[in-house]
Amino acid sequence: MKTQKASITPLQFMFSITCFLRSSSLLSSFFAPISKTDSWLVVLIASVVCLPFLWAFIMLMKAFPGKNLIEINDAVFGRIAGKIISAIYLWFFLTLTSLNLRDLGGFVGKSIMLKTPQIVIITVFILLCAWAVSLGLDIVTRYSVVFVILSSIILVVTIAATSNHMRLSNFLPILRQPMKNIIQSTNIVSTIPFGELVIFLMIMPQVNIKPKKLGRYFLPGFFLGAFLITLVVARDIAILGNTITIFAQPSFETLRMVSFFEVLTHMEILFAILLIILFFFKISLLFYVSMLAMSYLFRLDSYKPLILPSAAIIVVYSLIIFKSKTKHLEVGRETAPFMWFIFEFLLPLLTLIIAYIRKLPQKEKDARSKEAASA
Amino acid sequence: MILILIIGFSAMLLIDLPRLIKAKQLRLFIVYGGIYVTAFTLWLLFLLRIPVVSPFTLLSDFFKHVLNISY
Repeated sequence: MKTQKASITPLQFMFSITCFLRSSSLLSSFFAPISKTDSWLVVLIASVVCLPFLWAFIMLMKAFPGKNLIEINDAVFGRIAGKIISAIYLWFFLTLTSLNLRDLGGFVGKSIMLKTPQIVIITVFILLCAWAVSLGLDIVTRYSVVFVILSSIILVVTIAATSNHMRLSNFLPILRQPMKNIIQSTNIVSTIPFGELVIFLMIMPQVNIKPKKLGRYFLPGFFLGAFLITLVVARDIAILGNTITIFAQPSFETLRMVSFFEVLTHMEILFAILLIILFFFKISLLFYVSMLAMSYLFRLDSYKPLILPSAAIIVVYSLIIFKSKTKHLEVGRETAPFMWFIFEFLLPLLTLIIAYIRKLPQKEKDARSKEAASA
Repeated sequence: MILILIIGFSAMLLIDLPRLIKAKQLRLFIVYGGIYVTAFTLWLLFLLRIPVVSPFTLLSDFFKHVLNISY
């Protein structure tokens, strides 16, 4: 099977990870009402808690160089079980795409285009993402560096512009929230933005670098993304304090306070533009990964003919995925951390353990050495 | 709305059919057909306001009410 493989540079890969995490700023509404003014600490704790699992991702890539998650599942679990697990992962990728698309539609529909039906916003957006996906991974990830730099500049400018509204006392006392809330928030953060990095197991083989050196770009990308999220959350807490729990979009409210010389006000439009750009990147990447998974699962040469009907499924799935925002928040806070834990941490770890029990990495290495010797 | 749906899916088929024929892969035809029919069915159910169960909320309810795993 020769599904086309685009190639990306290590730097594109690293900034794609950062951009992917940065685009999860909207998701602070899941954990901010629980951990309140300790949310910044929760992000830091979650980034440490995630490290063993990210290590498992890197080890999987090193053990099976040149193979993506679907191919690894086939190699480790066998043809039938591997296909079943890969089908479950495909559902997971499509669900993530639909959830993010629904979040975008909800945000744009409630904040910017109030009279436009959500279905129109979502459909137009997915068509744009479908176009990017049809052009390949290189196009999807090419501007990740620009997006990260742009979002960082906007972040620094807004911190400077709102510094007069900040109160360091809003952070005190530290660890005021009950331990149960801290644990719940840490679980949410570690699964909802951070654990979603499992999707990069699908594109790691396409990075133009030796598998041994992948960690040198994967981890810095993760740390940079985690740092930016921490800064965003800390800025929001410094300005909003305990009222952070009231707002659905704390960052949006924070930027309402930005004004330059009382002439340029309502800078929340910057947040909106940035979020749309970042969401475009995230949804395109998730869509690409879903298409790639589909093409490998069904052993097709190309995913391109499947883009449009899959986009149709993603749109309708995003419209039916949950009845209301309240339901989404309820699931995101209460059950999603456990559900996603299985896909993002448990399954990859299990794959790694079974691979080593069956000594598959050694067999892979021997097979590659034989090939090199015969060539 | 149903008319728009039919027009949209017809346009999709018009765009993709030449590529499918050119590829000459039976497997691709079957997979495309499966996804196309699934997408059309879901859209039809949605537009006719027939409730469609979301696998996401189904799984969430399974975790919460059957396995009792939730915060």
